Amino acid sequence: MKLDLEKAKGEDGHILVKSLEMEDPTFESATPHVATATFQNPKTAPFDFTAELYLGKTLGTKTATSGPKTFTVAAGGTKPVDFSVNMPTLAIPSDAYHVYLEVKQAGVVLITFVATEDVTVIVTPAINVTQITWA
Amino acid sequence: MEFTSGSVHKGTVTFSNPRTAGFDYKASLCMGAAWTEMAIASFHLNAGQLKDVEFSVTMPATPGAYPVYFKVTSGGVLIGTFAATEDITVTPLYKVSVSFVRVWECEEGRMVGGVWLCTKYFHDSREATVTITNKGYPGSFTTTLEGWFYLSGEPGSLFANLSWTSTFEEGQSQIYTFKYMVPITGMPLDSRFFIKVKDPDGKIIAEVDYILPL
Repeated sequence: MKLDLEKAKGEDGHILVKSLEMEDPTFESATPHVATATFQNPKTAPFDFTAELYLGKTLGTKTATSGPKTFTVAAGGTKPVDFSVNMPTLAIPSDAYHVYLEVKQAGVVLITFVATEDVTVIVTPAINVTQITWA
Repeated sequence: MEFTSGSVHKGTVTFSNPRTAGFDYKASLCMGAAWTEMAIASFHLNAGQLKDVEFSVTMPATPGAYPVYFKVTSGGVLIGTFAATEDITVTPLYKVSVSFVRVWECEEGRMVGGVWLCTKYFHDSREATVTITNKGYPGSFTTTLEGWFYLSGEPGSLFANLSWTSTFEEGQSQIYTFKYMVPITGMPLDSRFFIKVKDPDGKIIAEVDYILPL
């Protein structure tokens, strides 16, 4: 599915995110998943960027993160970048998290986007059983 | 595992939650190829918790071999089915009543050291009847009647291993009449009669021990 993004913090105009795609927004706890963001460089010169996709309750609170991914986008070009995130390990049956995409250049945060739709992390119930004893 | 039909038994199962979150569960114990639900238990397991859950099961009325299954749901969703490695064999339940009536009594006597001392009684044979009634399952019973006299601690057989095989329909009774002799006059004797009722497999389903004065 495709997630729409909006600016959470920072300055527009340095880099655009054309799309952010991921699987179904409901994920099993502690499982790895990949989201793909397609960046666009609106400038007339190529630039190196570092981006990090993370899940959290608030801006800057990184409950689960892809870690920084560094890439170069050519002038006026686009670049798809994969972000692999291990879903949080929940101690409750389900929880919801905002999706943040933070983009840095030369170590400085340019902009942080937030998806307009949250992801839901769930724990699917399971049970094990031993042999029955009778009395 | 073998249980009689209609008997109530407790099955204990250890369930464990392998997940990182706690859940409410509902487990059904089922028996037979049709997965007939016999007992239900609702319980909660925290993350990683093990818990012994008890199921009180009234065994089916029909004898036979019954596989045992479990169905477990959480939030109304079936999350697991399990089969026990051992079937339950339900055996017929035979309910019998046994009565013993001695026809002849001592005319006079007294208790001596917990043993009836007959001081005046008939020298001819005594007569008794045993009535056995099938109050449960139809079938063939083997009725074994054994009588023993005890004299100064030494058992002497008056008669033993008298046996009748009869088919008792439910509610039907069989009456056996027999005679027995008093071997020694005027001695303190303890008369004991053992009545056993066996099912077609030879398993004792009723056993009565009568201690009677002579």
